[in-house]
Amino acid sequence: MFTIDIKSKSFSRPNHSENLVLKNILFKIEDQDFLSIIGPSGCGKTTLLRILAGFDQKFDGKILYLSNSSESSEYNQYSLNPNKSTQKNSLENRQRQYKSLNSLGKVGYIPQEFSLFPWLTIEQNIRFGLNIKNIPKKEQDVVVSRLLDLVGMREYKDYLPKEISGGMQQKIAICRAIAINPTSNLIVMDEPFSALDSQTRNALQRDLLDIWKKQNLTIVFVTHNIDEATFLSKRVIVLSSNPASITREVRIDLAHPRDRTSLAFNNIRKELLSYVQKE
Amino acid sequence: MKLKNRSKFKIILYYIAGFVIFIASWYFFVIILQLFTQGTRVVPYPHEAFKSFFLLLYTPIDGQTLLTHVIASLIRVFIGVFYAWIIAVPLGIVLALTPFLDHIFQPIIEMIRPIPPIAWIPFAIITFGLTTTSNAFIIFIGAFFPLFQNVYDGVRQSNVVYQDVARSLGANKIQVIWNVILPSITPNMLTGTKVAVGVGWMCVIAAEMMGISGAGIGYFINYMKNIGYYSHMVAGMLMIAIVGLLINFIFFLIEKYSLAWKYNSEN
Repeated sequence: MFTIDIKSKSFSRPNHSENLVLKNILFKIEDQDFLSIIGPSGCGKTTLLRILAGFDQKFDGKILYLSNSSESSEYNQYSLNPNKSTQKNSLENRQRQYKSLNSLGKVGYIPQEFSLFPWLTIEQNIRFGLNIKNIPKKEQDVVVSRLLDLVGMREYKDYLPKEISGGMQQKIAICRAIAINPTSNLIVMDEPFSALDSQTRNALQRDLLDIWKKQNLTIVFVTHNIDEATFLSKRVIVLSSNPASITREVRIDLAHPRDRTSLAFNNIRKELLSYVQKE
Repeated sequence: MKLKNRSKFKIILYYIAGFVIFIASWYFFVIILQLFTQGTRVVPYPHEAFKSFFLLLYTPIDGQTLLTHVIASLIRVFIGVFYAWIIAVPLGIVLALTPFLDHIFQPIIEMIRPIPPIAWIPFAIITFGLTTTSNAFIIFIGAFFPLFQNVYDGVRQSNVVYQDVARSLGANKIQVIWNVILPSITPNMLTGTKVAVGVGWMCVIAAEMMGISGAGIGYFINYMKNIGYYSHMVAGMLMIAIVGLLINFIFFLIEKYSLAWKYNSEN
């Protein structure tokens, strides 16, 4: 149970401080949201996602995290700009606070490439994050068994990633990401189905919606595929390029599963396409 | 299944054909050589070399059989490669991950690398004397660089996506190294070890021939040459070939079973 406010004033890539990648990015992620980020290629979608996942920590901005979970109910603010701090104590304090709320280990991340560790079996891949967190074996067994059933892949648990299809690998990657944080369940996905053929991609989109509903996930989904964004999302953010800023935010109120041939679906798709083409 | 068996049978036939061609060429070479040297024959025929080989397996010369010589050499290779491994592997990982240390040590490594291990033999003799340490040092020098380079390249080329995913799953730096980088570079470590053992094996023979030790297959070959037992000398060379083949086969098995995730099981 949470809300995340992203307030990025600016972000530049290391060693390229003259080139702003993100500017004035402000958006909110609600609990159980399905938010897609679209925009022209190279506009900074992935950069934004990586900030959210906790990989790029030196950006001038804030991630505000409202947690209603059992462990904390206060509104925590994480400043990610320690440079502006003048007092040593407050800097240390902020860094400590920031660390305790680091997205790493809390936000599931699904990259574009197939990312299952090739030397581990399917089951060991799902266990990876649980082992890192020293979760007792018995608890791990429960989680792994539940997730394998969720995606209907119990019989593949002893297979190596190279022995299953790309679509199956992405499903297991989602399971692995869900496994680490069953309470918040925030997952960020960076064009996860782009390497798949269209038939598999469509099937996986339906599977993802199914998992999203069953697990009460919150998903931030980066894609360049407008059809995909229209099919999946509750909300879509359109980014401009050089530097990226939010130009539109579109709420899609169509019920799932969506009919790609319906007039309403196509109207939204055309609307999004026109926004992206303007950028 | 029948097709598979048939192709396996064919491959075995090719192996035998290759071996027959080799032996025939050997006979041919000796005969031609004899023509050029007016009938004097120094290089033994294959059957003479094989006869010496089997004879020397259980007949000691100066108290040592061919097997004890080989074992002496193998132990030296093992010691040298072991020390190279425990230094080159951690160093390769650390330098690949820490740019400032890389800048300090890479130029030194690049400077020492072109010196051939054989060129270190006189240095080893004056530093460590005619001892096992001397031998191990030469093998260490030979084995260090292929190991180091393979590990270093492996870490540098290891897929960043795996590291990102591990970090997103909560792994800290040490856990990323242990759980992601190390498993992902096992093929590189194995390749490095294979090359290191190969180079180490060459180094030990050279070092023994240069006189560092009173046993070992290199010493044996040189000794047989000096006393004019040429068929025994070639038998020693055959032993080197067989041991090399065995070492390759052991690595093939290790690769097949420990790196099943990397290679297709059919290969």
